[in-house]
Amino acid sequence: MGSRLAVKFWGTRGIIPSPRKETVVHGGNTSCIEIISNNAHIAVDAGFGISHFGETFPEAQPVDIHIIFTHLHWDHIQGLPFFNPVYFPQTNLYLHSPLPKNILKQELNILFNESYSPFNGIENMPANISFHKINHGDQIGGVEISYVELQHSLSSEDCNPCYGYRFTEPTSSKSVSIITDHEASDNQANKKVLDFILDSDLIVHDAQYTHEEYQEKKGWGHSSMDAAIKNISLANGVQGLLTHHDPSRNDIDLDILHTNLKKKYSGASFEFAKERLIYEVNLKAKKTG
Amino acid sequence: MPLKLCLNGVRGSRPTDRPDQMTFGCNSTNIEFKTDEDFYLILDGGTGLIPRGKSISENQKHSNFNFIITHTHWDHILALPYFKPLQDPNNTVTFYSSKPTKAKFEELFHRLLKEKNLPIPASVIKANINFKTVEPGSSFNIGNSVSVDTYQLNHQDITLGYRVNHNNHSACVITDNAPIDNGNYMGEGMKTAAKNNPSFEKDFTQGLINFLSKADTVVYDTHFTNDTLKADWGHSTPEIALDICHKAGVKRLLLFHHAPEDDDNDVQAKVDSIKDRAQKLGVEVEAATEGKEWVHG
Repeated sequence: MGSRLAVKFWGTRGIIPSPRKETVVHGGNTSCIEIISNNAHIAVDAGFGISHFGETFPEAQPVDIHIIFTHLHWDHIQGLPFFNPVYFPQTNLYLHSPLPKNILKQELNILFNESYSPFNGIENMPANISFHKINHGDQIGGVEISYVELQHSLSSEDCNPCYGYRFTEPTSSKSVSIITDHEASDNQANKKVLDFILDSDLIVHDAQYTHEEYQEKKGWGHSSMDAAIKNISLANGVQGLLTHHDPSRNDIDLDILHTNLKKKYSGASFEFAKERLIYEVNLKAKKTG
Repeated sequence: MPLKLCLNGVRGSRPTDRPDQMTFGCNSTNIEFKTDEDFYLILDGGTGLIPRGKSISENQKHSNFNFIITHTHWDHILALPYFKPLQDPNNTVTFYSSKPTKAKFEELFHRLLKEKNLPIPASVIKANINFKTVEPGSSFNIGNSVSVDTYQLNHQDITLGYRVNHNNHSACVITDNAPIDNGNYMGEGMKTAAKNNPSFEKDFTQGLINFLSKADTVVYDTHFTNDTLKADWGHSTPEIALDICHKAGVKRLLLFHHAPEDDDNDVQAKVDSIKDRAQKLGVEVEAATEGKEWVHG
């Protein structure tokens, strides 16, 4: 089977789930992004969107599933107890992060804590769950992974960084980068991110705020749409996908913003990510420009 | 003045999002009791709390907020940190919850706010926050004319059923709650109580019936149907709810805690499955619906 590299959004919403009639097109589920290749099931983050990803797996069938975590904010982990494969012993569930394995396990355990759930810890769930520390150049199902630290206000002592990822299909060298959650500004951290995502074919980027909103939200850990588009352009990104939609943002708001931003940044290629849509990387196309 | 019951979130287990669920609602448990007193009274912190918090902060009438918490499972508390009125230092928010089994509610609440997990800065939470412990089965007053009764339900830890009384009208919330028969003892202390009392199941059920006696409206966990019932998951069925409400002389039963997989047709089917019998028994039955309000008095 030929290679394939694509992303599918199961959750595009930041902060809190926002299900309502006015958000059905872009979606109200919190963060979950599937990395589609032909050889592995991989999701980045486990916001509530992961429950629909879970519905694609037949129950009680042997399967290997990989979840890679950017960070531990609730909107990126809260869906894990509602991920159906967790309830079947036939599931091999691999949980990945650049953090030490014991820290990842310790931090995700709260989701299955006996005060917040009917369960007694993540290790007592039926699935065969293991924790893995990502190292640069690791491969999952033939897809190569590297990571970079993002700018996401996590300053107190017991906080761990937020990580961005680049997934590369080795034969074509085409890649997808996931940059969320990240506050893009003119600083060292962002320069490192730009180096990391340079020439990436598909760049998924945090774009929670409008330019005006961002003025009030500096330091909150998210990018303005303008900063996200600038990052994508500077990285020569073939296609940008803007995600982590603010909970207040309705479909119609995103459509209007898209029209206005396209006028402003006419050279750049970007869309607001929509739930359930698949965005393919053309592995055969040569890079232009 | 009337007692109004408002449903801001009716979905059980987790918030959902499908358009074919939006007639009855996708947001998880959040129920509000409106009176002419100068405070807000809200049950639980499911995701229905978030749009409600936004609308309150845009048109705020009182600075006192009282929360009555049934239990601390994720679907009932996950939205609490994002309740907009928590960001106003002029507001006072009081949480009533059961005495702790494993951890105090105050600790569980503050755990939600830790910087490593909270996607907004915790420093925006500026309201005065108080925590009050409720002994299961006890009653307390709020303000001049609201009294609240409690009853321990058949669900993990100490899950509290609430009865809110105001001007001779009462609205009750029974969630989450499983059938107690056949030794299905889920609540803290129930197994021990049953060992010491051979009539435990009968006493529990009669106690619940007494608790709901002649209430105007009862919101009852009917997550399952007879066919799908898994009693040890902690939820009930429309038939069980109707039986209890009929024996208690309840006027209206609202079927609640709609399963995440139920679409609007499934929810309507639950209503239809007991409608005829309910009519014969003199109990009105409706599906709990997000955004709907029931007025008593």
